Amino acid sequence: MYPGLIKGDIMIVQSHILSKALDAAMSSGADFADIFLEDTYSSQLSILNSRPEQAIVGQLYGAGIRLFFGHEIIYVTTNDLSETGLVKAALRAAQSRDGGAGKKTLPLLQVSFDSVHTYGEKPWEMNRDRKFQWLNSIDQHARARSSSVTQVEAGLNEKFQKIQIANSRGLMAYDERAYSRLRMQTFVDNNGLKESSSEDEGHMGTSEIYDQIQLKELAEKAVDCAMMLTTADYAPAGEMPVVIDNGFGGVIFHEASGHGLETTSIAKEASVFCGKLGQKIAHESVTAIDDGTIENGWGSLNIDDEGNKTQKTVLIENGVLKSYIVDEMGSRQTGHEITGSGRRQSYKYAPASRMRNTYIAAGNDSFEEMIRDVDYGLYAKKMGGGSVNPGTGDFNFQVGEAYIIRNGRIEEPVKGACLIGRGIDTLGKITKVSKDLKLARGMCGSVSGSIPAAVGQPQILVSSLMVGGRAK
Amino acid sequence: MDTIKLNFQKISEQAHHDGAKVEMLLTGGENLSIGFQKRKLHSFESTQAQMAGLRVILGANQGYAYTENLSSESLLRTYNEALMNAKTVHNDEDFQIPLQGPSGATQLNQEMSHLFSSEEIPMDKKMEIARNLEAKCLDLDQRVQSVPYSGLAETVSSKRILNSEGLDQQFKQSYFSGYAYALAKEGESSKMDGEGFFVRTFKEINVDKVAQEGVQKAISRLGAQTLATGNYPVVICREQFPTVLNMISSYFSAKELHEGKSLFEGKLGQSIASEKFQLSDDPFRSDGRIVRPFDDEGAPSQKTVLVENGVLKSFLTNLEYSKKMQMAHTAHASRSPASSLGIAPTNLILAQGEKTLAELLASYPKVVYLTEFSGGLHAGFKESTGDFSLPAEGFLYENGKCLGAIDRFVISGNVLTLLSDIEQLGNEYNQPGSSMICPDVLVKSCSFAGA
Repeated sequence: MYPGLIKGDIMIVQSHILSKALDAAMSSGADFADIFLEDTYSSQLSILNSRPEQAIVGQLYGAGIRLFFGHEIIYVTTNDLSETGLVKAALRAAQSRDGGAGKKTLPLLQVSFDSVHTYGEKPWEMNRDRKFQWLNSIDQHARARSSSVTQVEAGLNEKFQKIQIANSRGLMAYDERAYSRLRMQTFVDNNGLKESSSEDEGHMGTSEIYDQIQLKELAEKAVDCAMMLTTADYAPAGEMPVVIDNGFGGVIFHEASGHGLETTSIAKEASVFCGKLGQKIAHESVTAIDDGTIENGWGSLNIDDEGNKTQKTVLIENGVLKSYIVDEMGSRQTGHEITGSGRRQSYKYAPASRMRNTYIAAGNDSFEEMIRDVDYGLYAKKMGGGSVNPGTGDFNFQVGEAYIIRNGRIEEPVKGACLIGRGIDTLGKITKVSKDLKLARGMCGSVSGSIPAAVGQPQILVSSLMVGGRAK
Repeated sequence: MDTIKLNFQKISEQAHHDGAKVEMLLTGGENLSIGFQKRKLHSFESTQAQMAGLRVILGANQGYAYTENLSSESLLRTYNEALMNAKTVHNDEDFQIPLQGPSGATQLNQEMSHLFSSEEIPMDKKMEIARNLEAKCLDLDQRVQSVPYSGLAETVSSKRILNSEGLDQQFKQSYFSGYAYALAKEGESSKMDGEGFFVRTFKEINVDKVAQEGVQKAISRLGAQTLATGNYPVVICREQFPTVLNMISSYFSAKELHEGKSLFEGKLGQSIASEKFQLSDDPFRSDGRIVRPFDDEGAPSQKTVLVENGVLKSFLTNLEYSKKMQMAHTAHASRSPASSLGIAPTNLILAQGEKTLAELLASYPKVVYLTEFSGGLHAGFKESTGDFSLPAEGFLYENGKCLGAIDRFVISGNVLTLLSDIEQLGNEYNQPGSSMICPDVLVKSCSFAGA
C-alpha cells in the first residue's frame, strides 16, 4: 500500500526557488511568511437514468503566500509556480504593507515522517469503467428493491491532493491526501406520494474500498427510507426530549459547539465559549474530542495546511472546557497552543482553525434505556445538514429520518422535523451518552472554504430540545 | 492572434481529426479583499485565478476536463482527458448535442461594456472604506459588542468562450462588494446581523447606510421571545424572499424536467401560483447581480417570462435541452470550467405590487413579519417534494403594531402551496445587487412551530 514514508525529497517546487520567494515575502518587515503549494487531481463521475451521465476530471495548480505583520494577515495567490511567478506574487504581498526593514528567513529543511494513512491505486490509475460499474450496481440494486423507484442518481467524487508547505522558520514539508466519496440519491413515487432519500460511503483514501462495501445494502437503505417517508406524517412541534442517533448525529456537536471553539471565532470574541476555558460548560457525561490522527479518517491529516503535525485534541472533558481549536494566527491572537488544525479547501483560501474528526466520546449508558426513559419525544435517526451562528450559538439542523417515542417505545415515523437550539444550553441538556460511538462523513463550509470533516457521537439523550414540525 | 486562440486552434484541429466537437470556457479573475478587526487591519487578500474548462462532444455524449495550467501542452492534455471522458459516457441515443455558432452576442457585449470599470482607486481609499465598515458599526451603539465579520472586496472577472464552430466571445466585469455584521448584546440576549452591498462603481459605496442598517437589524432583534405554535399570516421581507425563489428556481430548468425532478412537470400553461405572482428572468437588469451578454455556451442573452398571472409560461433551456425537449431556446446555459453544463436563471424578477410594507403588516389582526431564514436552505428544504421546514426569526405584529422580536421558531409547509397562498406584494424592491429582485410578500397562512 501507499504512501507509507513521506520522504524528505519529494516536492512540487524546488526548495531554492521557495527560499527566494520567502525572502521576497519577508522583504518589507513581515515577521512570518509561508507558502502553500498545491497540485490536485479531481474526478467526478455520475450516473442518471441507469447510464453514465457525467465525467469530469481536472487539475488545481497554484500557490498561496501568506505574511503576518503582528496580527495582520496578508494573503496572495498565483497559478504561476515558476521562480518568476512565485517571487512576483511574494513581492505583491510584501509591497502591500510597509513593516520596516526586511527580515531573514531560515534555510529550508524538509521534514520526513511516516504517514498514518495508506492509499491504493491513485484515481487516475484506476479504470473509469470499473468506477462506473460500482455506480451502475447501485442503480440496479435500488431499482430491484422497489418498483416505486423512479430515478437513481449516483456519483463518485475523488480527489488526490499533493501539497507542499514552506515557511520563514525553515520548515518545509510535502504530503499527499486522497479522498473518495460515493453518494447516491433515490427518488420514489408510491401511488402519487413522492419522496427521496440519500446515502453515502467514503473515506480519506482511494476507491478500491467499494469492492468490499455492500453497495446493495446502501442502495436498499436509501430506497427503504424514501418509501417510509411516503407514509410518514409531519413531525409534531414544540419542546421535547430528543434521542439523537450515533454517527452523523454528531453534527449537533459540530454545529452547536465545534464552530464556537475554533479560534477563528474566539479571537473575534464572536463565540459564546470565549473566556470559558477550565469552566464547566456541559453535562458531566460529555467528553468531546477533535482528532486529526485517525488512520484514513475522513477529516484526518498528517500535517495541517500550515505544516504543523496534527493532533488529537480533547476539547471538553467530563463537561469542562479543556481546549480550543487553534491555528497559527489563532495562537498569536489568543496565546493558546497550536493544535495542528489550520485547514483550507485549497490554495485559493488562507488557512483558518477548523475541525477535523470531531466527536462526543463513548459514555456508559445504553440506547435501550435511553428510549425507555422517554414518555413522549423524538428519535432522530438520520440527521440532515445544519448551520450555526457562532456569535450567539444558535443552531439548527434538519432530521432526514425520525420516529416518535411514546411510553418508552419507538413508534411511527415522522418527516419534516427540524431541531433548533443554542449551543451551551444544549450541551447542558445532554443527560445520557451511550457506549456505541460511530463517525460519519460531512463537508464543512466556513471562512477557509469547504473541507472534509467527520462528525460523530454515540447515541445521546437531550432532555429538552425545540422540535420544529408542523402546527396541527 | 493571441496565445489562447492559437492554442485553441490546435485543439480544434485535433478534435476535427478525432471526429469530435470542442468548446473551451476560460475564466479569470482578480479579487482584493480587506477586513478590519478591533479597528486594526486584520486581513488583506489579493487573489488571481484562471481556469480553462474543455467540453468535448461526440454525438450524444460529452466529456469534461479542466486545468489551471494554461500552457499549450497542458491544454492539449486536458482536451485528451475530456475526449476520454466523452468516450466513457456511453449513450446510444441518436442525438447530436449542438454547439453555438459564431453569430451572436457581439452587439450585446458592446452594450454592456460599462460593467467593466478601469478606474484605479487608490489603496488608502479602499482601506478607509474597509476600516469604516467596522468602526462605524462599533461607534453607532454601545450594545454592539464586536463586528465579527466585515470587509470590502474589489472584483474583476472575465469569461471567454471559444468553440470548434468558430465562436469566440468574451466579457469582462468589475464590481465592489462589502458587508458588516455586528454582534449586539443586552443582558442575556445577543444577536448578530448586518448588511451588505454590491455596486459597480466605488462612488456608490455608502458606508453610513450599511452600518446604520446593519446595526439597526442586530439591535432590533435583541430580547426576542418565542412564538406560540400555530398558523399565522406571514409577510416575508423582501431581503429574504429570495430564499423562497431559490427553492423553486431549479424547477424551471428543462434539464431537471427531462430528468423527472421538476415539480412543474406537466404544468406549462397551468396555474402554479397566485395570480398576483409574475416572475421573469432578466440578464439585462442593471440592478441585478448577474448581468451578461451571453450564456455559458456563448448564446446571446435574452429576457424570459416564466410566470404570468400565476400561470407557468416557460421553462429555461440551453441548446441541448431546447433541442431534446423541443422547447424555445432561452439561453440559460450555465457552468464553470470545472463543472458540467447545466441550466440556471440569471436575475429572477418578481414583479412588485401596490401595498406599502405597513399596509401588508396591518392586513390581519396578527401577522408574523419574517426577516431572517436563520439557516438559509442549508437545513430544511426537500427539492423532490417542495416541503420545507426552516428555522426563522422576525417580529410579531398585532393590528399593524409591532409587539416585539421573535426567534427560535420554524416555518414549514410546501413551497407550491405557499406560492398559491400569496395574497399581496409590496411596492418596494430589495437592495440592488441580488440575483433575485423581490418585494415584500404577504402569504395567507403558514404553519409556525415555536414554544
